[in-house]
Amino acid sequence: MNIIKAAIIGYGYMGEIRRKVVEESPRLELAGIFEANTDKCKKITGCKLYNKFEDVLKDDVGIIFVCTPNSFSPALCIAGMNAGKHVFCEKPPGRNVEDVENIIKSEQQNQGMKLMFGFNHRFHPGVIKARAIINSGRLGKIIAVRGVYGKSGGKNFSQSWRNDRNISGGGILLDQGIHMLDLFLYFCDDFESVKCFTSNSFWKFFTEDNAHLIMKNKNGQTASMYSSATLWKHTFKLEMILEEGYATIEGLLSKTSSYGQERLIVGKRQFEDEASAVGNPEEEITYFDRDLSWDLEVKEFLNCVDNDKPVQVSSSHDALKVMKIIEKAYIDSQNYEEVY
Amino acid sequence: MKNVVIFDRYNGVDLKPSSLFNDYVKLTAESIKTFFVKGAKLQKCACPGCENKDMVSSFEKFGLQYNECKSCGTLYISPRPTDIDLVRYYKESPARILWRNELSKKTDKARKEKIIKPRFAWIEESTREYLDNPQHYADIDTDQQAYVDEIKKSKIFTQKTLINPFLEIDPKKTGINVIGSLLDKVQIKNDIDVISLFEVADHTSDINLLFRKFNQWLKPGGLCFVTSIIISGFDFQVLWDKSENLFPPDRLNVFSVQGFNDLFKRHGFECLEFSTPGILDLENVKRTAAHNPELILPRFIKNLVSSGEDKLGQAFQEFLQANLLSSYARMVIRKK
Repeated sequence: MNIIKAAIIGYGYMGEIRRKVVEESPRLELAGIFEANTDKCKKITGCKLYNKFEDVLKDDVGIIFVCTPNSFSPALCIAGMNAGKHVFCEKPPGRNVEDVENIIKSEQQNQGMKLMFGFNHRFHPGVIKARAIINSGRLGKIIAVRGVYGKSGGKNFSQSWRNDRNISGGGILLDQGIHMLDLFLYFCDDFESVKCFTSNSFWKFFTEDNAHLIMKNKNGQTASMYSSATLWKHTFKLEMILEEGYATIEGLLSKTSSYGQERLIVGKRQFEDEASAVGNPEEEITYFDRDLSWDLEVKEFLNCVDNDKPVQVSSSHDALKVMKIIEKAYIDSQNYEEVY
Repeated sequence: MKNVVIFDRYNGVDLKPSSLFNDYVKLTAESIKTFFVKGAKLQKCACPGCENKDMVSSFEKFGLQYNECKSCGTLYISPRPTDIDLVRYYKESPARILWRNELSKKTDKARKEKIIKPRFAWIEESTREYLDNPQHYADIDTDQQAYVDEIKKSKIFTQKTLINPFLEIDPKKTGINVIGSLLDKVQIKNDIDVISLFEVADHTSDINLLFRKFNQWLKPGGLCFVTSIIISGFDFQVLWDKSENLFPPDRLNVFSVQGFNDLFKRHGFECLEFSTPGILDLENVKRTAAHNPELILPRFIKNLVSSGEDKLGQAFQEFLQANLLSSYARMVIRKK
């Protein structure tokens, strides 16, 4: 079995998760970690600690995992691909569309290098099963989707780089809402029309803490999403309304379990001529208890690397599409530049 | 591992019309005497779930002894007929002839809509969930035309095989490959993507042979869909030996959740789904109580089954499903 050496750039929350995935993968060997913050470096034990990012590029490393704040990710992705490394980058793929376009230019110049983004929600068990059901066609086509994704901030939230617009490029919509929007795009066609309202009325950061989006695409599919950093009860809910029924993913398996047990609820619509058409159809609920999303997405990435296949799930194309929606939303949000 | 809860409504009588089912039970009792108690040699065995030999004699049905495993709680017949004798029974016994020619045909429509179609939807959707390019599907022991029709219709598999020593269908008409050999004579290796075992684990004498064989047939990562009754289910726990659905040889092994998990582990399978989406537990208790006025139910259960509240019954059944306490189980396992 061909073992690939991997390095991790950035050792925050995501860097720690990626380290675990790399160390548990039979295909990967952890070459080392680079972390610019000296305090965080103290947490790194049991592996090589790179002094400079350039040292990673010079090292015999096949894949780099970019787990840094948004403002640093594009340059690191580009440098990695230019140095002949495959790159797995956390979401968001940058602060704005321009950042992603720059990464894509580099990707095009470095044919053969694989680039994938960490939209791990696509690999959550509820999403995988929902997609299998929807692809089977038994519920017909998607008419509309509605999503709520939110959290309550958490410890040291006010000090987080995520709320410094110069580093992050946006607030909760870009940080967490991006996952929900990515799922919308995974299930539906691209949304051309985007309307959005944002506010920062609670946390008062220079980024939004609440965002409401309404969207429509050329095929008539409509979508709405609420992304929030003031949902005191952590919430993940994606409802998909189809011609013959509905599929709802509620709860999300996570490290802290704060979003509740992940479950998929599927119901078939009752037809007009049925005696019991009371708007309360029989449902099937699947409860999931194991989140393999981190492993599955890396497995998919390795599959592309091994077989020299183009990245088709969580690709740069997917990243660009979702960033375009977010950019449209920010532009549409009244006086976004002025307010924030 | 996941657990599925299904809110569906149907009546047990749709699937087992009372008078015909009673005839079937009577004939089964007689057939067992002819085929096993008087005729064939019975063999002692350990628990089919965990293989522990420590058990308690539980009760007798139609001359055969049910035992409860002290370790995993699985209920099983021992001594028991061999699989060769069981094949003869399933082929020739008056009970099974009645099942095939009358019971199965009379309930064909209800079974198709309420059981068979949902089972194939489950197989197809779960296959899409776990496998990228499934090709070869095989079923073990299916003996109803309605199943064959559904298998024929399936679009996600390009190759379909039925492995059944007592099935009488014309493969040319169906496009399905039929293997009529006994399990140990079937020569397939690492070739099948998906196998289904509908209530087969319940009536297989040598469960280890069954699991060993289909493990060989499956490709690595291949899936097996298992349906079965389980002893930890509500109606069995309440009714125990009085249960009208618990008799040999259809229910030779009545696994517990633990028993199934031990069996899967022993044969190199990872369990991806373990659900108990049964919807007839409460109804089974209610029906049995109505047939047996002498049956004394605990006051709470009596109150529950005599309540005319549909909503309460549904809510209770949903609670059973969500907590793996219904007596009908379905499982998806993957070859490691």
